[in-house]
Amino acid sequence: MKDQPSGDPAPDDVLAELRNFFGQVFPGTDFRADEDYFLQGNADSLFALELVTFVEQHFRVEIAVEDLDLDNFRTLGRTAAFVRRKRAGATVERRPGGAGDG
Amino acid sequence: MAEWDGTDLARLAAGSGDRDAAARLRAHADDWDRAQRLPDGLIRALGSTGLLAADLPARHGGQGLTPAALGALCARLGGVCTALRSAVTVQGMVAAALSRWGTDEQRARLLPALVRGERLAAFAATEDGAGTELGAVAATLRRDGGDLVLDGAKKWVSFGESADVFLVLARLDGKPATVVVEAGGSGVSVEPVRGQLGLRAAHVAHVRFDAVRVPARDQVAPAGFGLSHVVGTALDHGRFTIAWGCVGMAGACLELAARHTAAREQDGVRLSDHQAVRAALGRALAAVAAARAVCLGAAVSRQDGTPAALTDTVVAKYTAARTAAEVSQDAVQLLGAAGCAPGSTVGRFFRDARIMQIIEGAELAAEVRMGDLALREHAPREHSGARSAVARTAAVGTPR
Repeated sequence: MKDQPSGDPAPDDVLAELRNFFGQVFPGTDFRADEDYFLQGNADSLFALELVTFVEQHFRVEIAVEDLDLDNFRTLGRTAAFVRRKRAGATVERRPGGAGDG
Repeated sequence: MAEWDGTDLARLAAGSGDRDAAARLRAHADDWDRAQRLPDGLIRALGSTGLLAADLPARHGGQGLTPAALGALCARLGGVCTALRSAVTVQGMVAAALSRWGTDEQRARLLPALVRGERLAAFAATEDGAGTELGAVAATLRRDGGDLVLDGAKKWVSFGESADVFLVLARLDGKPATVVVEAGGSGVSVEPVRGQLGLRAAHVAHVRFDAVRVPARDQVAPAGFGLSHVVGTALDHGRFTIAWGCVGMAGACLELAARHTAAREQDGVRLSDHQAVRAALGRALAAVAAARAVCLGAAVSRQDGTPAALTDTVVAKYTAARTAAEVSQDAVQLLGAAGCAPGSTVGRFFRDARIMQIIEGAELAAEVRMGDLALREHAPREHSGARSAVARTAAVGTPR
């Protein structure tokens, strides 16, 4: 897989490109868009940062502390939706009170 | 002990290739190792010399050093004193975690002070029951009014004795969470550790937190993200600077072994004229060059911001620590009695290198992780049925 910044892929490609990345990290595993890979114990701490780095570099969005909500990342579909919202410049759902709010 | 010279530190920081400055500081570092402490004011002087968290962007007070420049700096420090380099590592780990995951308020309050050395940080994650497996930490945070209350016992905290603030990993609502804790507060007790194998001048301490009140604003990232994101960022940064410190340490051991064997004669023959000695020096030279190359590779992927940066850094730290252990062992052998004597510089590096094979990722855990990576790259289908317990890692072989 090419890991270069992708320019500006059409929004429909986001899910496919995420799926491609996951295919590399979890070989032979085909996650459904709504499958919770964190719950399934597939994601360790190194993977969490790899995902952050991949999303930031590949989709050219910035993930800040306010975005740290498992609901933004727990499935392929949610991660893709997060990327689309970020790319659209929309405010991503924030936890009440922001980062300090456990 | 004689006073260290601030201008030598500045020369080392500037990277002017001044071997005499490095040699003078190295002799001081032998004293610091024996005294098991760095001189008062030295760490803060690192700040005024621009050596602390120098990779932070200018808006946070840093110099925006590239990963390669930060690495080169850590190699120069590592070639002098592991404890000194470790001070840069620890301050850099906490600064990196706050820079990446802190709020604007936390960053503004803490980062410039960390860069200038006005505040010294330590990283408190390890516990009796949670070393390589930090997911097992038992320290707890509970809410009480607008505050958090921290209880826990942290072990082997580098610079725990001298720190002004700790970045602490605990559990909040059962989930990993991180907080910044003031060292001087009520309920914080620090027990200095002395006599450990290496890293003796790094003011290592065991630190207890008994019902320590922490303002809620000092939590870093939401609960659930303390280990994977905050501690993960800190450890990744630590591995990178440790790796480069080990390159410097191995290089210094090679230099000291070459100088010793070229100067010392036995029975009318210079040691370096023995083929076996010369071959040992050759092996060390190749090992140092290889470790440096792996670390440079990690610096490039960090600069590019690819997911491979994380695993490249694991490989770099593993390789460089192993190289430092091997080359320092050979250097002790080549120096013979001089290598074993009290105050021996290569003996100090030999002891420190062993510690570097353990902290920020024990060698065995790194090997399992890298094995996972090898299977993913070369045998993905076969691998899919038999996942290792340790790790999902990413993007090996990804073109940069």
